[in-house]
Amino acid sequence: MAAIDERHIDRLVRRALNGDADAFGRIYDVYVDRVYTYACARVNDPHEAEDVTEVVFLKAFEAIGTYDRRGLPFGAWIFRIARNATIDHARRSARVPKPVEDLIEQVGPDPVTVEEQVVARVDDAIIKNAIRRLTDDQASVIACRFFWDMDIRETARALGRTEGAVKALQHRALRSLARILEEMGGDE
Amino acid sequence: MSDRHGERSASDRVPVDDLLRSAVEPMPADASERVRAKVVAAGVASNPIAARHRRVHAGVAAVLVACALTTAGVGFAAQNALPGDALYPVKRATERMRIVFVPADERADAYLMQADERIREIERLLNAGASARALNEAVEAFCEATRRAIETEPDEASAQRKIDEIRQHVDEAPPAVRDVIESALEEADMAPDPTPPVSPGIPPVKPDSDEPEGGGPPLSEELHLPDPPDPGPPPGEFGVESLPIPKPDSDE
Repeated sequence: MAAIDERHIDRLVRRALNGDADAFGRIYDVYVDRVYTYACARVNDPHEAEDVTEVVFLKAFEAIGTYDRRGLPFGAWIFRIARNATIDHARRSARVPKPVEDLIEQVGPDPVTVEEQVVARVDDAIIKNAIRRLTDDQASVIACRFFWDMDIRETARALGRTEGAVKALQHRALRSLARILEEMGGDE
Repeated sequence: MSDRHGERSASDRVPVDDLLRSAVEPMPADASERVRAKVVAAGVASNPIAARHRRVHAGVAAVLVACALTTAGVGFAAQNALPGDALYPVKRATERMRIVFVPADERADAYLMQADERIREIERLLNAGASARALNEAVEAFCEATRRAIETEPDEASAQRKIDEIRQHVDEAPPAVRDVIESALEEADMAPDPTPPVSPGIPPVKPDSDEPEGGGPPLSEELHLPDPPDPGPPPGEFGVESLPIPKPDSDE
């Protein structure tokens, strides 16, 4: 997954605001796989994830005239739309993912360095199944940090949290995810 | 992964974050293409600024239609004219007339559209093996439209954004077109002759005494102005009134 060049995205957004169809297409190309992966991790099947992805971009492109690049990075803005779309989808489907309890409350200085070890023989589908069992906040921080490659500051802005809260949330999410993956591995 | 006692060895275990980073998967190509076409069309159709441009353009088009009717379709026929064609002056006159009807705050974008049209003309001329004179005329017209697009912006930050857009448009042009534009500007800058053969170059927005005389950089550097200082986000707000706000949840 290529890193996102914020200046390039800013240029594309400006061109999109001038009605440039090519710019809309390029913005879509940058974010579609991130949105789709997040959707796969929050809804129950790939076709639903495709529907959610479509809704996300329809809403984003419809509202792009309201986006203010001085306020929030565009990726964080897209993520907010994606998160709301998955929540709406889950409510409509009455299949709200069941959260697991947070196990660990203590937080280290940098949760990325917490090496939660899990069995290696897990594929992407198992990971997404595991993420589906996280709370919405936990899944969101996972998506921002690892699917979107946002740093802590940008993740905090995307989620409307403080940086400290994001660190704590990520720590709990990784611990929970590791436990879920262990359980799923044990079921094999 | 398990030994015969069901225990898992340390070598079987990897960090969760590594697994997560590798879990991003592409949307199936057929679905992605279908969704792409749909959302791009919707984005262009629903964008308010683009819609405003279309309304302005529609108004301009109405005037042009009237003009075209009174001139027996000459104006319309000129739209595909290239430098060297008999109708090319009509095309340029039509463009100048359109600018008059564009609101002041959109005029820079209108000049940028003219510059884009010049880029397309240069490409067509190159493909057709046109004369150097015709090519020069298109390049000079590109420089003129670019200069006006930059100068029309009300402040330095806006001018910088316009420069970025122009730079990107040139960068996205076919290599041959890009070479023509950049080499023309370079030649103009190096030549002491007050009547350079191709183009006078693009006057900077403000005098730049640091730039040595002669031997200018390529267009992408020639157009560069220092980045305006980042004012940073206003504290405690996101600056987007209609921004989707995350739904409350029960995690914390």
